[in-house]
Amino acid sequence: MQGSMGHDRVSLFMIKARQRERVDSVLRRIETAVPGVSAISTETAMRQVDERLSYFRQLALILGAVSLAVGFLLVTTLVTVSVNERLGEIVVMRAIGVARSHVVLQIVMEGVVIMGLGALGGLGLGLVTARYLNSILASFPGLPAAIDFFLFEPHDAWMALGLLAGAGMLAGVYPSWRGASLPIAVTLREEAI
Amino acid sequence: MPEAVLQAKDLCREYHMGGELVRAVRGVSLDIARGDYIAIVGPSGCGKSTMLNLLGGIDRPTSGSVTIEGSRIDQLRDAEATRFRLHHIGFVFQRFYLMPALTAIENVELPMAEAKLPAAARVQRARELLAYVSLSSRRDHRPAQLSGGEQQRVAIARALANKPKILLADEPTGELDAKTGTEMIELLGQVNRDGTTIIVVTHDEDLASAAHRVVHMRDGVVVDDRRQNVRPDTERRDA
Repeated sequence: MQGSMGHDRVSLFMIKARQRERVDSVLRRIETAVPGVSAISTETAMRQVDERLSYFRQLALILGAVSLAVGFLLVTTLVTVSVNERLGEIVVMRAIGVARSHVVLQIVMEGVVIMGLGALGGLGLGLVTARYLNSILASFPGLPAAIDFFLFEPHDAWMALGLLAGAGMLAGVYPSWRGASLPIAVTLREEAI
Repeated sequence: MPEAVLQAKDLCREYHMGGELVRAVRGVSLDIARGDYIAIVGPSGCGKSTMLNLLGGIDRPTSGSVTIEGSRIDQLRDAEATRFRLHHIGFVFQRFYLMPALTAIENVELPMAEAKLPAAARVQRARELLAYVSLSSRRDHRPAQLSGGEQQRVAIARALANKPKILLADEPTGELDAKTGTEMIELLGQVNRDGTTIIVVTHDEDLASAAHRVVHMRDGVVVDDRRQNVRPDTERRDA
């Protein structure tokens, strides 16, 4: 081991202790025997990697939250514009006896469909982008060929779709309730002008 | 006199517009008999559309009452009034207001779906209604693919979907040419002869002449209310 290090060719050795309980004493013995070498356990190494990745996770969380907020505002705007363009239809639905809750539900579902289509498109685009970035990163010299920088987690994908569907639903509630609560006669009079 | 299907007593409707108090309807009383056909006429702004809205329960009177088949509709809560309209009142509007994303038959099915009629029954009735308004061949067309007259026929079929006792129409010929307007007048006459009470608000003299009773309004009050002999459909436009 020392010989190899003398040629500065090896930067990492992995040593397996026979007994888990002896890991700490093995680490101490290595550091005593080979000055300048840092010996850490697999748990410590994993924790350090995890700490470094947490910055990326936080960044991803912030970007995701911003995207969700922008999507929410976009769908709210789209539904509001759609409701404003269809005030006549909406109040006529109320006039002919369609319950307010059913009118709201119909408009909210439109918001969910918009958000759902956007989410599916975004997911597909994200997968393609991840694969492309992965191929660039994996081609860096010195990296093992089988390493993946981006992993597709179905659970996370479902959670993202669920979050977006929920956001689409919430985004449609206010404008649709507002539209369905307009006074029928006044709105029809204004639409006729 | 036949049994009254609708009674309006001392109806008043006031609202603010541009900071001014508008007294659109001022103490109007009307008794409307079952099976009657009434035209409310008068100059623009005389309160006739407001009156129709009050009679149909889509507006609330400032004072007075509207009773339809024993129910005080002016006292119903919003959800109850909506339910009442679904089952008892059909509406036809000047601008048709069909749902653009739905086909003709789906538009006719809409009130029946809301009334929770089974799918097979509502498709059957929607087909019958579209045949009644002579639009069987256009049932799978969307409103944008239909002419104005055809859209108004679909609107009449939709209004009749839940077999209402009363059909309210606000300027139903207002957006139609003369020939299509005449066809619409004939259709409304047929609907009335088949037992539906009809109240129309109109500027169209031909449509008013098809009604059994004409109520003239001016400045929110009824200035004339008289029965008339109805001319046969064919004579009206030629007169």
